[in-house]
Amino acid sequence: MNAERTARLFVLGLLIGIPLSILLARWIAPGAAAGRPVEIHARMPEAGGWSPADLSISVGVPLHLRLVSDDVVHSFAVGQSDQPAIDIYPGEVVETTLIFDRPGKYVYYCTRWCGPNHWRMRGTIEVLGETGEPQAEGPPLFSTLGIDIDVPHPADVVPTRRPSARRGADLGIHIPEKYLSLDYLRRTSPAGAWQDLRAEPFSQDLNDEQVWDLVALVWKLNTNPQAIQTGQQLFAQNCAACHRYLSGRSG
Amino acid sequence: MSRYDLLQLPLLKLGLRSRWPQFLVRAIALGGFIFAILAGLLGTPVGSRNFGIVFVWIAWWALLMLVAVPLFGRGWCSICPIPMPGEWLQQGNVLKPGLGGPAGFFRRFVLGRRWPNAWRNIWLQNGAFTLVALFSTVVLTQPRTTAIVLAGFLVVAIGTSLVFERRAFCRYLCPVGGFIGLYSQLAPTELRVKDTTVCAAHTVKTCYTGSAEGYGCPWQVFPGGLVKNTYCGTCMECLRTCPHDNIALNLRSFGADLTIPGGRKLDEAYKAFIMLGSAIVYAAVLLGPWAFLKSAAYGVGSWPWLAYALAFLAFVFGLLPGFFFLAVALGRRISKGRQPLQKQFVAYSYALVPLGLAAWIAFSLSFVLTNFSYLWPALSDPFGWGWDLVGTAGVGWTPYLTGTIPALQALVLLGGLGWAALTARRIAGETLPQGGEIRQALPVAAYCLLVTTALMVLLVG
Amino acid sequence: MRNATLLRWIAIAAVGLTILLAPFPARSAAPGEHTFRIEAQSFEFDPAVLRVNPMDRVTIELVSTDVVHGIYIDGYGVEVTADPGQTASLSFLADRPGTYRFRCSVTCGALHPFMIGKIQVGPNQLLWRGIGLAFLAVLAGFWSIRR
Repeated sequence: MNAERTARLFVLGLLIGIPLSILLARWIAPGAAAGRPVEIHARMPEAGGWSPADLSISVGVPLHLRLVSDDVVHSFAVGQSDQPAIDIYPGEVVETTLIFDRPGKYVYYCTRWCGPNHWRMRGTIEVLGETGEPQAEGPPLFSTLGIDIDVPHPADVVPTRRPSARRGADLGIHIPEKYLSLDYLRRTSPAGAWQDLRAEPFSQDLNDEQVWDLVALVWKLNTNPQAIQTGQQLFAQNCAACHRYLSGRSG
Repeated sequence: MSRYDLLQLPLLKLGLRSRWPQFLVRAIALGGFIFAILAGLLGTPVGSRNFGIVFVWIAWWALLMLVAVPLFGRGWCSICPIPMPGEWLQQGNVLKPGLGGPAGFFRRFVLGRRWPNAWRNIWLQNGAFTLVALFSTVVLTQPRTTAIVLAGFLVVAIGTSLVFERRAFCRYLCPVGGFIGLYSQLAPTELRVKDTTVCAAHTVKTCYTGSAEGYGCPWQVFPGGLVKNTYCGTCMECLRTCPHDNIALNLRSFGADLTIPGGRKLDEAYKAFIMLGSAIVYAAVLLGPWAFLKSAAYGVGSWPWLAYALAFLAFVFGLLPGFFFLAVALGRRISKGRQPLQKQFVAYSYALVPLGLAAWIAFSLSFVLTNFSYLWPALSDPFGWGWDLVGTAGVGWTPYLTGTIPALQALVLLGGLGWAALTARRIAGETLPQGGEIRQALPVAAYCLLVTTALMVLLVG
Repeated sequence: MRNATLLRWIAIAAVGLTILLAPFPARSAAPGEHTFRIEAQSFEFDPAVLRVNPMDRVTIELVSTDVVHGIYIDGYGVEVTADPGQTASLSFLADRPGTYRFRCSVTCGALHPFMIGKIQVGPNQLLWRGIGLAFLAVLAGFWSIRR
């Protein structure tokens, strides 16, 4: 009978002990109460994006994060931060600690393409503090300029061939100063610029395609090879997955 | 055919007769089983980093298909933890047999009914396996689903134990037990009695009724009548209950059960088709380059999935047995056999048993070896929670032996085919004189050749 | 009788070795270069079947179109991963004849382990010799019975 009792205890011990120790190890053990990490799950935006998406922490208090992906490769980066992006591989936990020394609202986002809505995959960290300077940078440029980035900019006339700055230059038209200001370009979409140029007296003899060439010229005049190279890099990283001009597929 | 009784080894006999070693292994397996369910439910949804998926579908499956079944037949069943909780309720005891059943409170729940006669076959197991097979792409890859299926096994097993006597779940319902039984006929080990006259003279039959030393056969088998491995769970209870030391655990030649004419049945024949057919389907769907098949099989509930499911059923229950029937009919015709066609159909289907196991081994070799390295992180971080218990959480995915797998697969398939041909000829030889038997077995062998070729194209083509 | 059996087995072994070792009627194409552009999306490669000649220099440009994928080539053990929008390139000398699977090497969802394609380096000798040996296996199975 003693053997039977030992056996029963053993089985019950396993049946109760295993779930219990998992519970303990998972929800009670890691870290002291003070530095308790926040676990952020990354999922494709269609499946929920970051969760939790909104965090808050006080200035100067370390924010311990455990990052884990539930589906595909993601990456974690915080805006206005020098820290390199952290890759998050599915099912593998990576830990990081952030300390903010200025209050404000920080955006964190995914930097590895994870689907058509990848660029919407972002969350916020609210850094609270009564004193101290505000965030190093103000709100993003598009918000100071009052641009709604989610509004589409349809063109009245869609070019049938690829606009060419060289053809634009060959037209021999002097582009007015107004079009060459950074401020103008930041506020105006190519479609808007096309409308403005179309309305100019000097474009009356030109056809719609030629006006598009002028648009290309305007943008070309405002840039330099180095900026183009940077742009290409940014494009490859952030846009090419959908707008794959190389493969001739547009999106 | 000569046999060697392994129980002549005193240490082995001691270890198998004692209840403790088996109990400990089963209890630990039960712990692992619960652990796998919890990992599936609570752990990361990423299958390759979840203990539930990795240990069930890579480690356990590899152990089962590549080692346990080919060498020990129902060896897994003897240490399987699934019937353990239900049996505890039945017996009232977990280690020793509970003579007189459970006491007190639990008594009213344990009905101990006889399994209905109409279901004393493996059709339910055939159905259960097919059901799981239709959802296998999801079960195989989603930790939650795997956990639910495992938990379902446990719940149904406990429920069955309460209503019916002995291990009715194992014997008549378990989808895994069904094919282990079929393929256990191939194993080079068997549990038999040493001398049937001893059993005949023994009026008490403690091996079936049980004694203080062990349960009455949980598998509802009378050891004295054993001629095949199929339904003997190798639980070793009869070894403990036999007062005459009449039980032997024999080493024998591979596949000795296949050519025993008695006890061949249609449900077992269909089990062979289901197994062979699903190995072919999986080779195409999971290991093939056709993505539309994968998404159809994965999209449970969608129209493509419905089409996949219907095609699966038509292939396994219609096409595969249909052509086999034609092959058998052709052989019967050219050999002028006199046996009823249906009887021959059933008899020859046993030639598909070695072929089917070879197909499963060849299929398993590929995905087991390429994904075996998932074991190391899953061992160290079973839930994907960032643990590192044994320091291998960071081991990356490294497929093993990828250059050699195709040759191994081809070799296994060839072995299975040769074995199938040999079995077919032996089965023919049971009823026909020399000469006629070759003619009769030839179409069946051609069928096996065709199936092997298809498998080769799918697996190494 | 015993001699006859022995003779049979010797014959089977001889035929088997012949099937296994006979020179394969190969169209010996001059080694060249092959570049494949493979689009990867969950859970497929397109194209999923590649054919090259032995000793060709093979370049695979991997283009992921939804999430990060990778490609690992069985037998060769070479691997590359690609983020969407950023084509990754992999180059190797096809010096191992045979047919090998290639598979995704970066977890990309549930069916990731079964995201598979294949590359055929020259004729698939294993398959053809295997089928040849299959006939022999039937023969051997039939013959190995003494009555």
